[in-house]
Amino acid sequence: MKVRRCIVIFTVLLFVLTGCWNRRELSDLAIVSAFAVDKGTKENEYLVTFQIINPSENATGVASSGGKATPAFTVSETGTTIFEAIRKVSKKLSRQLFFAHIRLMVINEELAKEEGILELFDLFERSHEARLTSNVLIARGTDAKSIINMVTPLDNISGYVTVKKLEATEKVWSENIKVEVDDVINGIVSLGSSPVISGVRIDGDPKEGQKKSNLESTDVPAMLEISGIATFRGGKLVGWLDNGKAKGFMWVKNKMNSTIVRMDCKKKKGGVAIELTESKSSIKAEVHRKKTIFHVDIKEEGNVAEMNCPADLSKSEEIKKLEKSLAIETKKEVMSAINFAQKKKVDIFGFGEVINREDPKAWEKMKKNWNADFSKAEVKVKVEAYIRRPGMIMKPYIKEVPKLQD
Amino acid sequence: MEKVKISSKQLFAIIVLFELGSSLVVGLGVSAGKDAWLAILLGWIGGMALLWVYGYIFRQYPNLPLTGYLQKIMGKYVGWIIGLIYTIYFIYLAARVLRDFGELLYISGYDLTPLIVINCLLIVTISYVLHKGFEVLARTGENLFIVIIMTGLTGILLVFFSGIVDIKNVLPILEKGWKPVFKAAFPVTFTFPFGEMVAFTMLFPYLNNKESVLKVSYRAMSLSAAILIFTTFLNLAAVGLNITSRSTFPLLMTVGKINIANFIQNVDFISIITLIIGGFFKVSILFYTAVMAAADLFKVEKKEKLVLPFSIIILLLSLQVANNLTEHFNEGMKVVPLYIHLPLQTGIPLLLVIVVWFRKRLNTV
Repeated sequence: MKVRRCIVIFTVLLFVLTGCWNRRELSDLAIVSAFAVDKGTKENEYLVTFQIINPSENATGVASSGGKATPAFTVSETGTTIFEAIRKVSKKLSRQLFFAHIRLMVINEELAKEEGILELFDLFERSHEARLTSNVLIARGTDAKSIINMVTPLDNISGYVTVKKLEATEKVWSENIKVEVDDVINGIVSLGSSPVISGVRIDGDPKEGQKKSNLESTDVPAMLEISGIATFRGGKLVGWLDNGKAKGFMWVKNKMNSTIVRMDCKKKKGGVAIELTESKSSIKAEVHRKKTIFHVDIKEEGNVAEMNCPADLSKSEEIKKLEKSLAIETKKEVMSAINFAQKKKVDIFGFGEVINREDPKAWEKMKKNWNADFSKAEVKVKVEAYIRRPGMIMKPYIKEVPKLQD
Repeated sequence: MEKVKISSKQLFAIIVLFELGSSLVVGLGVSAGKDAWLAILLGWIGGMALLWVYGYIFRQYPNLPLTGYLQKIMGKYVGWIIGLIYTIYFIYLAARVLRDFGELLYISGYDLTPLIVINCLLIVTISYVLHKGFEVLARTGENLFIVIIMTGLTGILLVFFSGIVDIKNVLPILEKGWKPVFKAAFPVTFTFPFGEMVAFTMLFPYLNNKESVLKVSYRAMSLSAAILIFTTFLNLAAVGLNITSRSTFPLLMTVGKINIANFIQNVDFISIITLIIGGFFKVSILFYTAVMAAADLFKVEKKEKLVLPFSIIILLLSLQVANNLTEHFNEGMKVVPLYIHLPLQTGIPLLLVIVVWFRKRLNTV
């Protein structure tokens, strides 16, 4: 009786414990690290390019001895939706695409300008593999495909490298903003703020960049460079923030981590470099019947990083002077960003959301033609700048250089 | 009548797991916008009042379950029929919750596994535990409660350390006044999950430590409310109202956003574990109350015998309640709270209280 029972139980278990329903072994998966969206040849079609990791080339130890193939490769396919392209790629690939490790999405600049980016992100929300934490970039001056086609030095897979560059530069230079898919979506659907996406361009020849020989010279022929911040209105790219404007934007957005502010001293233009260590901004709105006033208050702290003029920093007047010009310099860049945004009628700072938070009732009435109102709003910027310490040295040696007499 | 020996700690654990069960996953109260968490707070206040109502009747008939005192108060026949309605209600709820979890697992990971297989696995496990008796379920609850709290805390810490929480996303509070908050709280967050405590009216008389039962219930309900409010707040602050209100399971979105130093990421298992445990208990308890109710109504001596047929009913019903997820959610958020939850959770118990109160008055005079 007991034996019979056992047999029955085991036979049942045999059917139940067969493993996963639709198992996919690692050797059947093509791990996608990044993908790029360009315009397809036909109307309404996208050309989607997937960057796929070449597992054997990334295994430590093997890569150094073998090294025949590139660490990642790309395949392209067209489709009116991204998912269509994903499935269509199977015609070209021996493995099925796997999206859980995707880090980057690159969008073609032309596409963003002409057709807009509104329809590109549904997949990220709907699919359980793709993640909202993926980063988004706009390919600048080249097609998106070339960006993920690049072979890059230092780290292998260009999709991941690009994200790392973005993170690094956001941290120490703060001219670019790291934007993830959900930030873009929230920007698109919000009335009181418009989305921004950083750009990426190729410094050098894109054709050279896709070859492995790109790594075989010390002066790397083609490099990926994070560049500028794209602004959008109604999902369409309307302009780029660069240099000072981009920094000004980061200041207002409270995303300024650290950067170098260039300042003049008596003799030399741009002779002082201040390293910002901290910056905090707060925005307040004042809604009047005819006019809206925004108060942007910025508090920042910095150190003297380099000083090529003969100023004695052991005197507090000199520090005060530096602080004053740091505030002026900051305000200049912030104003340039605000002027740009008002001219283009894009509320990239989320001023509308500030009104929404502070005065919901007024916002109810204003939100309909906010873009127009935004461009007419008055913005008052107040900067408080502090220079806390001059570094390891008080008096620069420039001050001690003896004057030679002929 | 046999007594179930469970400690206050175990009761506390299973009530919390029951309350969190499916409510943690779905975007609770999102019709109130950024004030969803306030709607839950209001729902909790309503729920506490409701629990007082259940407690009042329980104190009058400390040895009878819901189906028992229904017959005492409403008369034998009417009470019996209402008891039967409650039995069907518990079965229906168990099936709905089972469907919730099948769908959740399907969407988040088992995208090609037929729903019947997922639901089948869940119901088989549940039937096994219930067959072993309620005490086993309670002990399991005590252990898994610790697991759920630990994973929950880990999840919360990870969300905070990822730096994705932005309080600005939740402001302004009461953007559109109290009206939408009330609308979301009554009937939705009030009946689901707090009103579902009505299931415990079937269990209270069988517990051996009657004095502390109600006290423990109040506490457990408050803790689950706090957890729900906090989670909703976190969802809103991390991914924003927009995504929270549009997504099928907002908690999964929030946890999916976790990324610490590009090293700790893809930790969806945290939410899935929490939800499977919660769901397991919710289905189990509703299932068990249905069995108890039926056993009481039909005078079945060995209620273990009812477990197998009931499990088949619940399984099939869970597949049949809706054609697709949209329909399922619409029923769950619009139809069920108003036409099924409200009368059965609030209407009839209130009626019972009024009848009991009047009878007492008449008797004393």
